Amino acid sequence: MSDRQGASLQYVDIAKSYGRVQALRSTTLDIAPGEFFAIIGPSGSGKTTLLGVTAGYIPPSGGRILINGADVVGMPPFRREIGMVFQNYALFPHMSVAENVGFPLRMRKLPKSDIEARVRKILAMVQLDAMAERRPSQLSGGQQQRVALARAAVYDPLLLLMDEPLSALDKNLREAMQDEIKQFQASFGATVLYVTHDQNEAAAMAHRIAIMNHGRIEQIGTPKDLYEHPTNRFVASFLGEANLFDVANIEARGGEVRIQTSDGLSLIAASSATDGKVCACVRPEAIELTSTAVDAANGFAAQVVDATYTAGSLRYRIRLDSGRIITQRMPSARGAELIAPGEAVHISWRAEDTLLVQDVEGPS
Amino acid sequence: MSASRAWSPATGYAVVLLLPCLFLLVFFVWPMAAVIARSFADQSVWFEHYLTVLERSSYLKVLFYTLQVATSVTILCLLIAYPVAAVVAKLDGGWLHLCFALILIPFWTSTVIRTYAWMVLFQRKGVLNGLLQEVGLIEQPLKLMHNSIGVHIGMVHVLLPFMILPLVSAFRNIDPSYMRAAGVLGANPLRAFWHVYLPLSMPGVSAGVALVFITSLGFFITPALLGGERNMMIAVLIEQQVTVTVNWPLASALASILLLITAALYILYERVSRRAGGGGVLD
Amino acid sequence: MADGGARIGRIVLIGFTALVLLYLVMPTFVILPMSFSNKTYLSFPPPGWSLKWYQSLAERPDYPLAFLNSVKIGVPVALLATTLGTLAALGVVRGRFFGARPLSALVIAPLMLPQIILAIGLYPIMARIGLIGSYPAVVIGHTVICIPLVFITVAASLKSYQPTYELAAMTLGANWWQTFWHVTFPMIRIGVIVGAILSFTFSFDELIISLFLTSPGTRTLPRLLWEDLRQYVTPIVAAATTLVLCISFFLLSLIALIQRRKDAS
Repeated sequence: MSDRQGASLQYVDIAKSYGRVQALRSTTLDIAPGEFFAIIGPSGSGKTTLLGVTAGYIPPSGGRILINGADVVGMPPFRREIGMVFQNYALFPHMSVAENVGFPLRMRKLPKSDIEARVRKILAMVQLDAMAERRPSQLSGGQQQRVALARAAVYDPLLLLMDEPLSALDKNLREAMQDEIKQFQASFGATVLYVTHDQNEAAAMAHRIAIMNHGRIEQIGTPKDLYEHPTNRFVASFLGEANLFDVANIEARGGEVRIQTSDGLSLIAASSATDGKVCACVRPEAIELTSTAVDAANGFAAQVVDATYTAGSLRYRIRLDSGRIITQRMPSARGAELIAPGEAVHISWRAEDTLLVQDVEGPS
Repeated sequence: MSASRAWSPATGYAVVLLLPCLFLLVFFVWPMAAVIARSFADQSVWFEHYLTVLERSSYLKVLFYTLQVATSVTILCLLIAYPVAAVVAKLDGGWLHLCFALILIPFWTSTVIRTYAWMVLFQRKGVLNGLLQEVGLIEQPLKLMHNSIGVHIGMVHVLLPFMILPLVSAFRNIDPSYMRAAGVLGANPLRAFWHVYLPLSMPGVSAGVALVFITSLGFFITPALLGGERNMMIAVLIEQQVTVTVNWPLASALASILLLITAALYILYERVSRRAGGGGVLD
Repeated sequence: MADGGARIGRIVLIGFTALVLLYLVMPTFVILPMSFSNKTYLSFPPPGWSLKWYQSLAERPDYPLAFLNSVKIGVPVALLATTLGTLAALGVVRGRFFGARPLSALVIAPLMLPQIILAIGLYPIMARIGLIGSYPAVVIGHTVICIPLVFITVAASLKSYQPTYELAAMTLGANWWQTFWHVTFPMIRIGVIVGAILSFTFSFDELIISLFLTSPGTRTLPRLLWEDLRQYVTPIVAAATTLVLCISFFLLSLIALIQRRKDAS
């Protein structure tokens, strides 16, 4: 574990518009030193804009960005002492791997022997010392990714920005690289701002995640917070799967909350912490599938529509009497048999698992 | 520690434009504007010189002759270049390089030299006449210089690469599967050509046509050397007005007319090709 | 049956193409043997061979002087046009601002518009500044027309890759000049060099602007040829043009070689 402290990063009312389009709405965010902070969201949500504004090549329309307390807005990227890994790596094709990695050190006019030593050290760290003299075009995707990482980190920046660095890699390589990057960050101690569209990746790597949509941050929290306590409909449906119900009527009575959905179902929730217009959300893993009725707060008779076997879990789609289709998931036990479509089953879940979230899809 | 709030790579790069723009403003825009300005000078009525141009039939004749030559040269180039480009476009490797070399060599040879070559060939006692007389095809030497024929042959020679190159580029972009599909759908080669190949080649055709026509309008060297008093083109007339007659205002008026026509054609071409979905010259 | 027709059609096409290509190169190749003729008048084939025209070229003072002038003008033109054209390409392709399109049109315009207009426009201005007939005058005139050439080739180079390379360099600590020198320039180098060679070649062969802006002392080779051609046509002109052809050919081959090396890598 490194004893170096990464930079603290604060956004104060940072915003960016292109003409009438607001790519980034007024955003305030605090990131702690050494934190691995991920930003996820659909394309156009503003996450890449936030990164660009932080790096300095997109001028913000307003607000401040404080790196270790100093406002860097207006400062060009080459004075900000940050490191950045781009989506397509942007490795200079006319330079060797060693020259690429040594580039930032050359720009800072370090003595040649220093540069050679540091380049060698970091290439050994990412296990690419044998490739030092190769050109980037001769390397595989995963190797290029590691060179990009080494290049961005070789001069010990306090803040590392990463723009979907693993999106070009295939699944297995991606997961291996996720571990590598995580370890890398731990040993370097830098603060990392990591943009990705892959929520599993964010959940696997980050301390905290921010979900963005239409230029604004919807919610910030640990992966567990976001998944188990989504604040609104968008967050609930963006992360994992969700069964969402439009609420017609809601009544809190004697410790429990009774909900009437717009398609006529009666649900029980444990608490209604949110006011304003809400909708109900039930996670597929919270639903229990049985052959006969059990004693539970929420229970319905239903029929299996289809069953899917994926690596590690079974997914069922089930139709209620009202016609509504519910998604249910359970871990697959070895040798378990899929329930056939058409079978009559019973689904149930606890009151605590009926989440009430703000019924907001995005800004009006 | 913050510099201008508006720092962005884009503005930085835009700043870099100042120097070339300044240079072009002083040494290109200003001279052009000066020419237009001078065409209005020196007279009681501001458009006096333009009236002169329109009234004197000799000047009008030059104008019309120029337009006519430009048209016929363009058509000739198109008719010759189209089949040649179609053949060259299908080649590859060594043959392609050879053909490109043959097309590009004259392209980058000085126009003076190329026109001189035609003079050598066309003179009364020149190479062509000598050859034809030797072989016995003709009795009297052909008059190929100082008339329209010489001008046309010389100009087509110079401008043909300007037509061939855009056409080859356009043809190479036509996916051969279109023609194959046409064949499968029942079209014979002629109909496939007419309905499929020809329309697809139109962007290249319009590029070549525009280039050749606009260039022909302002042509100087070839008409000056191969043409005569009776078939002057406008650039030759302008030069004459400056060096021989020293009538600067009139020369400026003629030049302004040429400028206007050329600029208008260029803008028209850009609009039309943009509307048709292709890019302009600048893309 | 139909196949036979197609074959004949194909043969006709290819034959026609060969003829046209011949038509394109033939005249220039007529000049070559002409320059070795031993008679004063032009005839083909030449009655005898001799090197006397090349000798005359070397002995007459005006031809070597004109050749030297063309080089003395061509090199500064190449340098100046390359610098300004590259800056213009950088600004238009990498910058973001209103009117990128009209600005490109302005930069390319000198090549598109008839040069006679520019020539008669520059003449009085150069006279007023007092530069008329001097080297700077014609260097400036040629540069104006060569900037579009460089602009087109360098802009094409710039468009062939993503601007993220330059952004990456800046995030890694490279300032404007460092980014240009270490990242941009190596990637556009071929376009710049080709643009420079094209500019030199164009200036070397240019007539109209030279006609108006040079004096007898700074007369370029095309202008000398032009003056000789108007008066009389002897093989000395053939000798001179053959030399120029060799130079142009050499420069063109250079470009072709550079392109071939680039395509190979």
